[in-house]
Amino acid sequence: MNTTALRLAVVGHSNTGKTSLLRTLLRDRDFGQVADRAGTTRHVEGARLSIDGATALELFDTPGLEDPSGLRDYLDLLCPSSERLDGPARIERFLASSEASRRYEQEAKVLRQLSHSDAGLYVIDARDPVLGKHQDELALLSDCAKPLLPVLNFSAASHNRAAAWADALARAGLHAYVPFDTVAPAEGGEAQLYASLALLISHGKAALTRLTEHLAEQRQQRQHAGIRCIAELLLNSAALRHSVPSANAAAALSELQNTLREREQHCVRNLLQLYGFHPDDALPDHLPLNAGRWGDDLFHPETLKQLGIKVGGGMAAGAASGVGIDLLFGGMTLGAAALLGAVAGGGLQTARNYGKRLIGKLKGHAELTVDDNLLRLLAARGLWLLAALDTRGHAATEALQGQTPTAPWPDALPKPLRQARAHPQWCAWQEQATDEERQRAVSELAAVLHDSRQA
Amino acid sequence: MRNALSSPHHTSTFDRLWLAESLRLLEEQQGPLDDQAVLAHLQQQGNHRPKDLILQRAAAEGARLKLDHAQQRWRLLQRLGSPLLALLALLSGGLLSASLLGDGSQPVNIFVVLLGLGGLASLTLVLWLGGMLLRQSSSVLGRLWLDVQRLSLGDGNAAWLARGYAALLSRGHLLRWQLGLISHSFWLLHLTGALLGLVLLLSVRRYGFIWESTLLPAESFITLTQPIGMAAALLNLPQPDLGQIAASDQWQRHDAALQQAWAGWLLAALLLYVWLPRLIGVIVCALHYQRRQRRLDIDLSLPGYATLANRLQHRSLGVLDAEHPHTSTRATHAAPSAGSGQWLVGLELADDEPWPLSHAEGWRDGGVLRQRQHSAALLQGWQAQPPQHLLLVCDARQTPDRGLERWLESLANAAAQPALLLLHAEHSPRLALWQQLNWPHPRFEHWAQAHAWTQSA
Ligand SMILES: Nc1nc2c(ncn2[C@@H]2O[C@H](COP(=O)(O)OP(=O)(O)OP(=O)(O)O)[C@@H](O)[C@H]2O)c(=O)[nH]1
Ligand SMILES: [Mg+2]
Repeated sequence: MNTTALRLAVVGHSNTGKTSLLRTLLRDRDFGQVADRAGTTRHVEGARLSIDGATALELFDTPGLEDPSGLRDYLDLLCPSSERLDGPARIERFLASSEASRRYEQEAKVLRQLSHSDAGLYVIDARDPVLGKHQDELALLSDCAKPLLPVLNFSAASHNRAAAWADALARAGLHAYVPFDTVAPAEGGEAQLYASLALLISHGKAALTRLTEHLAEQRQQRQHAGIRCIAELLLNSAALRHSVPSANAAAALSELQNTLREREQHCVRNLLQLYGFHPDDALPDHLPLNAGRWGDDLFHPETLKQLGIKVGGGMAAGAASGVGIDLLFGGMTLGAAALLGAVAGGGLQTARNYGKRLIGKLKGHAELTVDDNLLRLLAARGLWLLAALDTRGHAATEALQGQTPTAPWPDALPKPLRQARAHPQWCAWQEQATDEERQRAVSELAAVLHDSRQA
Repeated sequence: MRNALSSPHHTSTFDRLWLAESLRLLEEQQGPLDDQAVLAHLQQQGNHRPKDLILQRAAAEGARLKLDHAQQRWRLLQRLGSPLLALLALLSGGLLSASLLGDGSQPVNIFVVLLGLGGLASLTLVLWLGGMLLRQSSSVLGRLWLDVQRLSLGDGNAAWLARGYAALLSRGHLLRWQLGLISHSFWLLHLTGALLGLVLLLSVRRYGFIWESTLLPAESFITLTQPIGMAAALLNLPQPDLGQIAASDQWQRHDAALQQAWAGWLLAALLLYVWLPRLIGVIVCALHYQRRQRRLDIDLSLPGYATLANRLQHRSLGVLDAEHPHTSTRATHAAPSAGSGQWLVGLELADDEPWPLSHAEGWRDGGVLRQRQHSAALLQGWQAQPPQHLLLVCDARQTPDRGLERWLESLANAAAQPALLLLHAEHSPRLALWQQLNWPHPRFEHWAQAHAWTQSA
């Protein structure tokens, strides 16, 4: 493997989204500072992308070029055309000049960094009109004699001027460019960016291909991890059994509901963290999620209705509580059957669990379980959030379009969840829940969720 | 902490994975640990594979929670406990043989001995096999052993180790093999003890073997004895022939050859049908266990690990070219004190912006400038005859930058009364930026304001 990583400078006019692009490429929403004004970034800051601990790509954020027209005039002053200096020589002379650390300090940092890099990503706000300053900017950058890949940011915005930009870039000799929206990167947008880059830097081709593959792999891992989060939540909820004296069932209901709210919240937090977001990051508008919390209460009948979960008349009351009361048969029959299983091989823990439940039964306790519809609701919301996170870049703030999903499994719960109903010891909130059968069920459920995601 | 971090290799890979798994489960249920100190330390060490980072973090955090001590306690218990358990197994086997054979004063029912020594062992083996086919780990002994170990950890943080242990093993599909290994080893030792006891007693005492039953007919013994006797044939040990079997329904006290034949038959049967399968069981379990243990690894598609890998990855290269703040000195120009005429100039307007502006009768049109150099001609003209009113028009939806600020300034300096008109101010989220602009002259957001300004002057 070659030891020196590719170095990429991210350059462009100020406030075009350079730092945002870096955040998205690095999947690090804490990188640098982002604000909607000129001159947010005032230094060069680097970060790397690694594959298994080896640096594959070094990316450098630079300040915006704020006064390219002034600088170009100054360069003409420094290097009279009679001297016929070439681009890099002109840049060198400028970097050694007095204004490089005064009026044009910011611009000097950009040109210096680009000169020390293998290539530059030239970030454009595609909504901006093409102006003289941009042409001056392109002239300055091309003086550095490094490959430049224009990146049309905000290409998803409705009034963009991508066509005018393509024309202007072609006039500057830049014929390849990539559209890229840092807030909602298109599927495969990142791969396209690296592929276009590989065409410009021939010695970086292998490294960039490997990086693209690695990123795809990581994305899959993240998806799997996200789905597992949801699968665990569902399985634990399905296995949950809350034994209470029949008389106190109503009071215990709200306690159980709170547990579920908390657990769902926990899952949301995990998903956000998995995708590198903070709970207070702005998330797509259509997700009723505020500061990392779902706005709609889990147990409000309206929430069920929104996700297309039909609740029959007689069941409405139970469904609204989200909890079924398992008075006799469910718990007892399952209990007795599984008790035998426990004695055969479940170990002390399981036997103790069943013992407790049998005693509870004899004392006339009721067992609270989580309703089917609630499980479907949890699944729908989890998958919804996951899908939104999966397509969201690590930049900014604007709302995304999207529609409310419908809840999965209208007819019957998938097998692993039905199994979980009969295995209270699978509920990791109450028990050890480490046996292989449970892990198998989680994997199966994850596969089911994966399929219903695709559907 | 430093120790744990700098020498993570003093423990086996398995133990490090085990610790990481325990912490993963703990954090999954109880929320994240405060690992900032460890994080800072890891980040100083530069670039590492994500899996190594996770293991190093686990080692450091585990040490902080004293889980490493608990792990050592567990290992100690294992080291002390397993010889004890082995001894117990051997002794119990020997004792069982002795009690089944008795002191030789009574005839010994050969089938009672066979069943007594091999019955339960075979039954549990069959149950285990059935369990394996159903992919269930049904090893009572193994479970008990794990439970005992778990109890040794007590409650508190260390209890997560027990969970982590079982979770790691079942995730790697080796829990059943380990449980199997424990119970097969126990049974193997138990049977070895029994066989040794048997051989010992048979060599120092004379026993008389018979078969007897109230319920079962004699033929069933004879038909049973022969297939079981194949073991003895295989091992070249003596076994009773048909006549001897038939004769053994009574105590043939002085027929030494007959008793030897039965002894050979019994030993061979136990060795081949009961002891050997257990040995095979031990070997199979051990092989599977080892093979799968070697494959154990951090699975980055588990939610906890995926998040950690992302968080621990050291990405920053830091600030390379820091800002050197300097005070920019603004050249103060003496603006012309008086001029003539009202000029309207658009700066950096998009080409779809209608120009000239609709209410601009009576204004002289300086045009729309999109390139800084283009203002040179205007400025030159104004040197002789500076404008009295100069209204510069910009688009409030764009971001004002330092270049524009300089440009505005250079134009403003050429007029007696400059002002700035912002178009589209009402739909611009960036209006505030224009209000912060370093522009000491009037600033308008509506044409009417600009109009009033020219009137008042
Ligand atoms: N909707 C949308 N907003 C974006 C996108 N990229 C950047 N932004 C926003 O644009 C603004 C500027 O982004 P920055 O990343 O700070 O831009 P910059 O080029 O680094 O700016 P300077 O450091 O000042 O030169 C921020 O408000 C971002 O939220 C994009 O693709 N879509
Ligand atoms: Mg920036």
